[in-house]
Amino acid sequence: MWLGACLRNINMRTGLLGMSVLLAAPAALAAAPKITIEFSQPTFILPQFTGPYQEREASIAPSEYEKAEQLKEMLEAGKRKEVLAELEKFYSIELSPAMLMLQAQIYLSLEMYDKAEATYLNVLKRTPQLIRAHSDLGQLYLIKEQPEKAREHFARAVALGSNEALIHGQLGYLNLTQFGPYSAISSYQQAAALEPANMQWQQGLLAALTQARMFEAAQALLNDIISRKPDIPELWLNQAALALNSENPRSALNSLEMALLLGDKDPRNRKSLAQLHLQLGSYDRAIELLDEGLRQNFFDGSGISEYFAWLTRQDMWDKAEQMLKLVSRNIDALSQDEQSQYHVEVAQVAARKGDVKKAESEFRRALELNPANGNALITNALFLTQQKKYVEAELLYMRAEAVSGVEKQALLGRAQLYIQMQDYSAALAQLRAVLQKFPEMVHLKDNIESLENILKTQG
Amino acid sequence: MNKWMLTGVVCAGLMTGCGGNVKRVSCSGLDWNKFGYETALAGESVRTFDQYRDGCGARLEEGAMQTYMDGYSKGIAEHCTYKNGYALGFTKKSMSKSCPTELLAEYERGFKSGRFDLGVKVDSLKKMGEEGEPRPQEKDPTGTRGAF
Repeated sequence: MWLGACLRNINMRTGLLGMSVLLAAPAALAAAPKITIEFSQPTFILPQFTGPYQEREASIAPSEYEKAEQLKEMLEAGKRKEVLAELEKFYSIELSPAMLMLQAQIYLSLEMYDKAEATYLNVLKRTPQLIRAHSDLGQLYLIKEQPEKAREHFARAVALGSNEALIHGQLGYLNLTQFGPYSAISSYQQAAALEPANMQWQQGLLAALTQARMFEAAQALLNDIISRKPDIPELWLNQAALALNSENPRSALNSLEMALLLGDKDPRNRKSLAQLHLQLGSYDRAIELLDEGLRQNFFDGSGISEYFAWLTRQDMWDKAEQMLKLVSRNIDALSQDEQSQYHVEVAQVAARKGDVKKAESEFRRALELNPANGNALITNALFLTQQKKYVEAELLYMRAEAVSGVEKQALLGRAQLYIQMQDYSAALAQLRAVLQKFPEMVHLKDNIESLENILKTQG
Repeated sequence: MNKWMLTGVVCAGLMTGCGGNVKRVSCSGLDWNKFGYETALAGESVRTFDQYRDGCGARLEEGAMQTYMDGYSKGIAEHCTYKNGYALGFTKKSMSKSCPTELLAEYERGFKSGRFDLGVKVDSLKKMGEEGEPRPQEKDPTGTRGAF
């Protein structure tokens, strides 16, 4: 609806522009002939008495009144199967569409979905304009997990004039999932107009607006919903997501904190919150969240490694060490592979502080826990290279070359090692092997050429 | 005539009587769709099929009923029209009682219209006979009379 207002606005502005041109024209057109406009005779369209103007609801035939009363009493007594047995005595053509609808509804309530579907389709063959048949069939197809067919029938029900919020809402959801957000917005708006208190439609509309990247409209809607229901954590999470989409991390952080305060317990949200605090420089709060997360087993190994990488990239080795100390209290909660990675990180901190013995011991422990930890092999090899323990480093690089994901790094690392050892022919052979295996690394050609020249010079 | 001969005569009579009254129905191989269609087009009841359903039981060809119903539905939609109702009314035939509810109103309207026009024609023929002058009569096969 707001989009429609936008379009009308544009038309108005165009109209005004058109007018100003017209006003400027008269002087130039002073000698122009008189313009007359001819109108053709209007064509009147009479409503037909068939087709879309037929009844949208089925009524029972007069000859069925007595039977209908009888069946009504049986239904009120809960005798659905007995009612079905009565109806099944007739051929379908002998029953009015209203009675067939009843039969279909009983099949549906008894979870006889195939028979329900066949009966609804039979009704629609005879009276294709029955709204209730379309909407019921739509519901049935949702149960049968055939969303494309469900959508067709909900759309048909709406086209025929259904004004039920549920139908509009479901059409909105199905359009959103099958055709994208733009086809869903007006359906959700219609549902919300009919049932403004139903949060489901508001949230559906919010999802559609967000997916359509109509962030201002989504934010306006969300502000309105939050003002009415400020204690729902999901709404604050939506607010945080919108803020991130609008590249406003501070607002996202505030909204996430609010969601946490209101009881949100999703560990992924805590992780995102900690990352935002790190990003915005509130490291103490980030560490506090991590501590809490570790105590409650919210954080997994991959999260810890991410924080470690982030902190060390910012050169915040003290904070990184502080974080690892927190992790050490809950180390048993980590998997063996995650523990291996933890020891690599402890080794890196030790190496940074110059504690060689500790670093070696931690690297050893990491590889004991996971001999195929590619990161451990490469990092350890780098450390050993710095310690000038070239043979050991070379062995670790060769092991790492067999680990998928770090093969390229290991090959290049070994080439670098040979260069450091001043074994240029080995380095050259290694780089040629890398280029052959990874031909996309065309920049290596320069390095290869440099090594060839060095070897030529050396004779 | 001894009692054995009498018994034989009675039995033969019974068997002949039974054989004469039992109608054999084909349980497979029929064009069920065409059968349904023609039954409906003639305005006959859908229960014409009962003789096959009840007579054949489990021997009835699989899908026969559905195929019959498909043909019947098509035929009844063609039978239960205003035009057909009019023709029946005008030719003093009876309306079919088998029209589905959603088609019945138009069918009945046609029938009544046909009967009315028949009545008008009969009256004009009577008057012609009394006065000796022919009067032009209007038919209404289009269905607009009585529409408003």
